[in-house]
Amino acid sequence: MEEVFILIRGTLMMKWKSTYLFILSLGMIIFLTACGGESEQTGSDAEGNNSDGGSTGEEVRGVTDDEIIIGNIVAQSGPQAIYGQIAQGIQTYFDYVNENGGVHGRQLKLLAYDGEYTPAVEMQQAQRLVEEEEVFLMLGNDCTPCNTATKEYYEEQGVINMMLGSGAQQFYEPPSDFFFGSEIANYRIETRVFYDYAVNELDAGRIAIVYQNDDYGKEGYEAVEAVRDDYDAEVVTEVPFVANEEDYTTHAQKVKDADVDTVIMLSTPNPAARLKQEFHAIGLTDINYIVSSVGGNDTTMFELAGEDVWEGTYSAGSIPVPDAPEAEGNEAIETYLEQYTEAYPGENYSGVPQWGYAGAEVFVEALERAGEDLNYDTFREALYSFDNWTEGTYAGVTFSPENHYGLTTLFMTRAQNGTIESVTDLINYDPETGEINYE
Amino acid sequence: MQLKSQKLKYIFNSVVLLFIIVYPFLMNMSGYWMTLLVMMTIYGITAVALNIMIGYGGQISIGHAGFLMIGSYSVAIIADRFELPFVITLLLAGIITAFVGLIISFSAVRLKGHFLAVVTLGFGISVPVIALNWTSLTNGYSGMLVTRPAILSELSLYYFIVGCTVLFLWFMYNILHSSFGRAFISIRESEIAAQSSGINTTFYKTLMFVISSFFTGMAGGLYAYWIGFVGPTDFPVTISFLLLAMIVVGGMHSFYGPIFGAVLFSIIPHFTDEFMGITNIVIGLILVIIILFRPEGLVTIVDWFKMNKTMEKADTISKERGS
Repeated sequence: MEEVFILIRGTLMMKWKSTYLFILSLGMIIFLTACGGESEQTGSDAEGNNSDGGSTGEEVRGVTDDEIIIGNIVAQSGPQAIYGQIAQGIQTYFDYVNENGGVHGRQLKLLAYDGEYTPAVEMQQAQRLVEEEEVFLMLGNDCTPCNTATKEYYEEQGVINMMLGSGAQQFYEPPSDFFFGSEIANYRIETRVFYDYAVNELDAGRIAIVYQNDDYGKEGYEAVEAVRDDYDAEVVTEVPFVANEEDYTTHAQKVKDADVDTVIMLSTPNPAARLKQEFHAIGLTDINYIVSSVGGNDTTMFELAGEDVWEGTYSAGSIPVPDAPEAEGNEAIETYLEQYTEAYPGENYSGVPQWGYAGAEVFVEALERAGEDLNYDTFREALYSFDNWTEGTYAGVTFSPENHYGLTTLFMTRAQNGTIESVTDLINYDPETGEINYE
Repeated sequence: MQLKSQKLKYIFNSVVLLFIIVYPFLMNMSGYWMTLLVMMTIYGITAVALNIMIGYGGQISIGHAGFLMIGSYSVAIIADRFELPFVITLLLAGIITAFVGLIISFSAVRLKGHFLAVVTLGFGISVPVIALNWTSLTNGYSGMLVTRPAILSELSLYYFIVGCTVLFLWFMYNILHSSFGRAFISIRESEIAAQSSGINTTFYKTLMFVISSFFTGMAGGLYAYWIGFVGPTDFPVTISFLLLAMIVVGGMHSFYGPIFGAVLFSIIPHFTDEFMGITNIVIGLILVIIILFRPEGLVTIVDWFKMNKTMEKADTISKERGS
């Protein structure tokens, strides 16, 4: 008690200079807080120019006669540094386009900064790219929570974000003037296609939904919940798990006890591999195992789970895996392989770098369509003219004023003989009607 | 001599304060530059608070990012559920974090050295995991948006944060220069000697935790208001290591050292981000160089200048006397 008294007395009885500083700083807070006034900036830059449309007066932000500056924020360091390959993919395609004369005589310049998969850092980098570097738009930003944190900022500043490295619904429903497309299939769309494919093509009757208990897994789970009554099948068990769980024995046992014929697994790669290993361990090998594309559509899964274990697993893709048989003769994929392996020899070329490259293809195509008179209005109009565009590496890209998803076309894949092969033609999802059409 | 040094310190403090006040106008009201300075202040408060434990008290903590996270989530949760004035919310964030610090201290005061490091490391690792999994409270992976107080524009919030920083640093400075600071130092130097001099070491070690976590929690609260979002990936354990690096590089046995460290490590990414993956290499290099050549931290460079000046003066006097 005596010590507390000394603390209070010590804090109160200070040298007069410290007291002076204290009073000065308090006065400063009150004065400056009051002076701060109503300078909240909404839809305008610091000078008060309306920046919607990326334009300042007649000039378009980030666009000159011979250059377009594009921003990108992905994790380049830390545990999620693999997403740095998105920036490499974008840079590869930009280099290829620049070598061939650019777009309407303009060279493409990419400014890619490290977001560290941290919202605060990504916010800081967003401010730097928008306010200091004055980029035309943002392309391929990763990290769902980071994009959530910065969404309002981009909308206030009037900056378009396209081909996000996140398939979360909040960026596309309702359609925003500033968010267009994702590099990976929307989680809800993909799970809807899984459910439809399982029931109509694999004759599934008793289904288990195993999902990662976070934004990512729950989005897919909710998509199934919304349509489960429309199908002649039953979801007999729902098994949530946490992404960093190590032991999947009980989850596997729960699925086995439910006596299901199909498992839809909404997860990242590690849990997907672990669960299938557990299924094998308890002899549950005669079921359909369908894994979301983020967690399953990659040949590295054979190493992670074991070749025998992973064999037969279904997933989905929106870009063909370069080593898959269907990629043979695909001109866009061949160009990608040639360019990427030349730029980054010896590095992984499947999966994440493809997202960046494919996103850049969509962006460049939109620039081409927007014409020489480039601004946000012409750019948006150009995006809305995408109607199942298939000339890039994506299976199909569609935009409309009501559909900002971009990737509504995908195909089912299956792990076979050490590679991931396509087992269907293209499958189109219509966001307006919710219909799924098999080509 | 002492008087002159004091005078110089006040001039330096006033110039820094003046610069921070006009800074938004110098930077053309750029959100990026303001965020850069705000992050310096937040890390500055946290590094000084951490230094109360490590530099002054000799109690290692490598989980301080956990306290930052508790402070930021406290603001987000209180602002979301209760309509309290934002100053009260901020204060509550500090109190809640201090309470958690108090609980941690119950076990931590019985430990020292590596064992204490492991306990605090465990704390730093577990807080983000709890934030991720306690979905009903924290909104899990999605994080929580924090609404900026309606009465504060971006500029006034900037000044509010700067003002709070001055206030918090002033409080910590006075605590460290009171009998408490002396008690902390005596515990650092020799716990047995401190105890035999009548210092209640358990009480003072607990107090270190509480004071340090209180100010760190407040810094976390300021972060939440400025960024407008908190999520489970905001303060991983790597931030705890970065904070540690800040006080080592800045100077552990000085009040100003951690502030130098916080400024340095906040500004480095500005110059290195254009080059993919180079930031951590640069931070690592700086750490190695400082430990090799200035093990007492950057702040000793000032002492070195002072010493050189004194030597020059002594030389001049001896020469004058000689002639």
